Amino acid sequence: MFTPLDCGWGRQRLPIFSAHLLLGSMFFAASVSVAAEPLVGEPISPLPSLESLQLDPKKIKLGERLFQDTRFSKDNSTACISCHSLSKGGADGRKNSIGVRQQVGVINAPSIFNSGLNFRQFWDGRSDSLEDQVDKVVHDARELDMNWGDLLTILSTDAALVAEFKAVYPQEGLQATSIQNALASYQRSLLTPSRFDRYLLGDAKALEEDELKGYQLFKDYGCVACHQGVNIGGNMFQKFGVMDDYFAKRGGVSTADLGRFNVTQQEADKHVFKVPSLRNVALTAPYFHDGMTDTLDAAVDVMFRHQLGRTASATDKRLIVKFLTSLSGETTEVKP
Amino acid sequence: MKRILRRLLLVLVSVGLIAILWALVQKTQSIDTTAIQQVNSQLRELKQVDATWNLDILRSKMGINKNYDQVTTPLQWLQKNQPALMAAVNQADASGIKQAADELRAAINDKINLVDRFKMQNALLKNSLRFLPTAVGQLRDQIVAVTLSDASSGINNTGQTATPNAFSSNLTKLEATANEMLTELLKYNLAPDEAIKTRVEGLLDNLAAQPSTSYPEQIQAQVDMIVNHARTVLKQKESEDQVLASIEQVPITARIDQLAAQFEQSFEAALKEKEQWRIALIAYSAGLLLLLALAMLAVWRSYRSLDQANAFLEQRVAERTRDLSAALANLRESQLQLIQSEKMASLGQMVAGIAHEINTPLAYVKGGLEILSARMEDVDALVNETSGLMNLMTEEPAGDEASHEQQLAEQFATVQEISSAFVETEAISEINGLLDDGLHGIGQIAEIVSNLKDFSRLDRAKVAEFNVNEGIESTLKIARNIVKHRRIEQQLGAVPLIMCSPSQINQVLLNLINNACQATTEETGVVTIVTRPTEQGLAIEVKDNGQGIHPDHLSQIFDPFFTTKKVGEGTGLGLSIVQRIVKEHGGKITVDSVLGVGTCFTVELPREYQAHREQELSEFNQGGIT
Repeated sequence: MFTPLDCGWGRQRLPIFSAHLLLGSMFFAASVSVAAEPLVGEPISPLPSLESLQLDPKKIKLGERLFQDTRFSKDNSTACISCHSLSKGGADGRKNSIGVRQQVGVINAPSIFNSGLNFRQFWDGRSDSLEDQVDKVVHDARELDMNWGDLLTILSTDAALVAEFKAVYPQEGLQATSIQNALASYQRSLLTPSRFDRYLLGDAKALEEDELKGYQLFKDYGCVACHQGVNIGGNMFQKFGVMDDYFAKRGGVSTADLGRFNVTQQEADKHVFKVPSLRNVALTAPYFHDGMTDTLDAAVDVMFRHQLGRTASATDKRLIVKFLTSLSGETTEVKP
Repeated sequence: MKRILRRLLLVLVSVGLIAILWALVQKTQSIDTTAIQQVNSQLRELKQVDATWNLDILRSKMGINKNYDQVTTPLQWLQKNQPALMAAVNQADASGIKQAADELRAAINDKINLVDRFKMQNALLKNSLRFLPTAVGQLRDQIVAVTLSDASSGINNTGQTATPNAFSSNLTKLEATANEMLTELLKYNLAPDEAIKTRVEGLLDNLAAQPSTSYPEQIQAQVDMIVNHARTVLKQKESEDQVLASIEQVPITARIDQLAAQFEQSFEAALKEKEQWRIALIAYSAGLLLLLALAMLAVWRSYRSLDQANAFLEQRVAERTRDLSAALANLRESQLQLIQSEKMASLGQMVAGIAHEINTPLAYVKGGLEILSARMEDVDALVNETSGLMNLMTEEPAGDEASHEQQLAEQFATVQEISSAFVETEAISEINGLLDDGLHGIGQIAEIVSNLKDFSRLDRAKVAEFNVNEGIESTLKIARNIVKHRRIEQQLGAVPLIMCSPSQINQVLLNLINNACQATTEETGVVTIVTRPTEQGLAIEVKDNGQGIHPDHLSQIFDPFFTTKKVGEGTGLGLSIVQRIVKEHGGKITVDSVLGVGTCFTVELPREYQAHREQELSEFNQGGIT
């Protein structure tokens, strides 16, 4: 904001110049510490910084509180965090999650981590936004089986919470929309930068040799055709079993197995799912929407067979799994 | 009541006029152009986003974009901007806009779905296209390996009965077919063409067809994989092209233009409406101004007429004042004349009384003098005879003595006769008596004149110390011919001297006593005069036992010209003048009267004369006795 034109006196110029120098040296130092250039032309992009999302820390904090609030479930048993544990890769490690009244869900819980970077929410992509996702989870009979009317009635007796909402959302106060926004803000803040991100940012030493090789194979075999972008997936739909019928072999096709068809009712969308993000994939077994695959190796096998229609050597698969482990967040406890 | 209603109506009409003005002003409030600008800029941005989207789809198709993040960014843009746009749409409240917005949204949803499909197909197509050359290369390697091992061992490792040559040529043909298929497929990928597709499908059928001699398992698996992927390419390429064509056909730009046009139209309609309202406002304002001007004209007119009326009124007032002053002057003059005439009337009465009083002594003085005059002849004769005797006696007799003597004797006898007549008739004492009577009569007349002087006090100062009791006595004397037939009872108290105009107070007393006498009859009339000291001075009561004053007249008795006496008996001014004199002296006069019992007039007078009255008093006196 200060330009030499703004101040005509030489006496005042010195501190301004020194300020410029100081700022300059800070930038210089920063660029040195990151080292080198981020990689270009890679199908996968590094995670954005939390700051670049420009989230309101107060909303994040409020959302974090709500995330753990069991009052969101009809029987006061279940909170968001029940199925999206931060210590379990943002999921719950179960084949199917346990919701309100100990009901077993129909689908494997996706990780909450980096979910803000997904182009849609849920396996079938039925939500456009995290806000809408909150709404659907709250109402889902197997998940929280709640409704906004009852929830607001319950929460409005909590004077401290009401006051906090009034402070953070001066216009709305405690409302369905503000609750949704707070939870969504919190979820957006749950980014898990990994060693692989550091590698993408130019830190060549961030990945081990095998992992690097694995990454190359990941690209060469075409895994990256779907698992690409900033979230290594999460930005497109794909049919499960393109090269080989997955469900014919597995048997017992459920409604949940129909995937996006449940949303669009189009024949072409049968067994189509959102391509899941592979970030923290090593931490989120069991795998796939049905949670039928327990290990990452097996999951890679399933992918080769049904999606790539290719075979790969055990070594290659091992290397790919190695690479996949480098996608785990370096900090387990993600705090805004 | 009517006036209040009229005012209320006026207020209501005013409020109504102002309300209409306010409503019109509200209606003409300038349209918030920021909203339409915002919508326009959003739609422009959406257009830009859509164009970039198309570009990114193309880039993804060409493999320039390494991932689909770019293709999903429009979703983020929509997520962020749709609420504001939808709010603008909902706010617009125009069916055209809503419909256009719905159509745009439908188009966008179509495109989103198509892009989702494109991504799916593109990923698969990319992978297969990418893999196929490798796969065909692997097949070649496998065939070379099999052929080499075959050549070295000479044994068909599959244990087929075919000749090694046939087997080898089969494999060579397989490789050639696979190569050709790959070439054609890649060609098809670059330039999709039905003919090429048919050829590829033919080659794929060849590849997939079970050969007469089966391939080694490994090769068969590789072939199957190649066929699978090639078929995937064919399928995905075809549907990708369809999807891309569909994407191209999604009329987002047209829909955006349509929505923008709808917004523009509604904005222009709003502007037009505002313009009409503004014209209405101007017309209304003009009307109001006209009304105001008319009202002001009316006010000005009424002010002017008021002004004129005012001027006229002033003139009238001036005239009236002049008239009134003249009338007042006339009145004063006539009042003074009246007072004068009343005084003259009183004086006349008084003079009549006094004349009567003087007449009696005057009559017997006159009679005495007439008798005296008659007696004077005898005296004269006596003196003459006596004088002749004296001469005879003293003169020398001229003739004869006898005659002289005789003359003397005769003369003497005459004198003696006269003188004895004098003595005999006691003429001298009679004369003396007559003289005494005459003197007495004159003394009486002198006393009357003296009383008259006392009464009118013409010889004294106009305002002087005065003993009311003396005033009563002198008044009673003056009015003797009135009061002599009534019983007068005096109860005169020890009253202080007061400063007053004695002649006026005497006039008051005379008037009251006169009235009291007239109210009573000669037989039974009793007039009581009381004086007593009061705090301020003194009080004089003149009571009678007459017929009393009728209550209806009581309030009028002090009015000028009010009289119950017969015409010619009273002027009706007496009591009026009495009241005036008393008031001028700072005193008051009250009357108590009971019909058939009597009347009592009470005059209270202060000790000190009211100096400020002097002027009027002198004025009054000027028309008076002076």
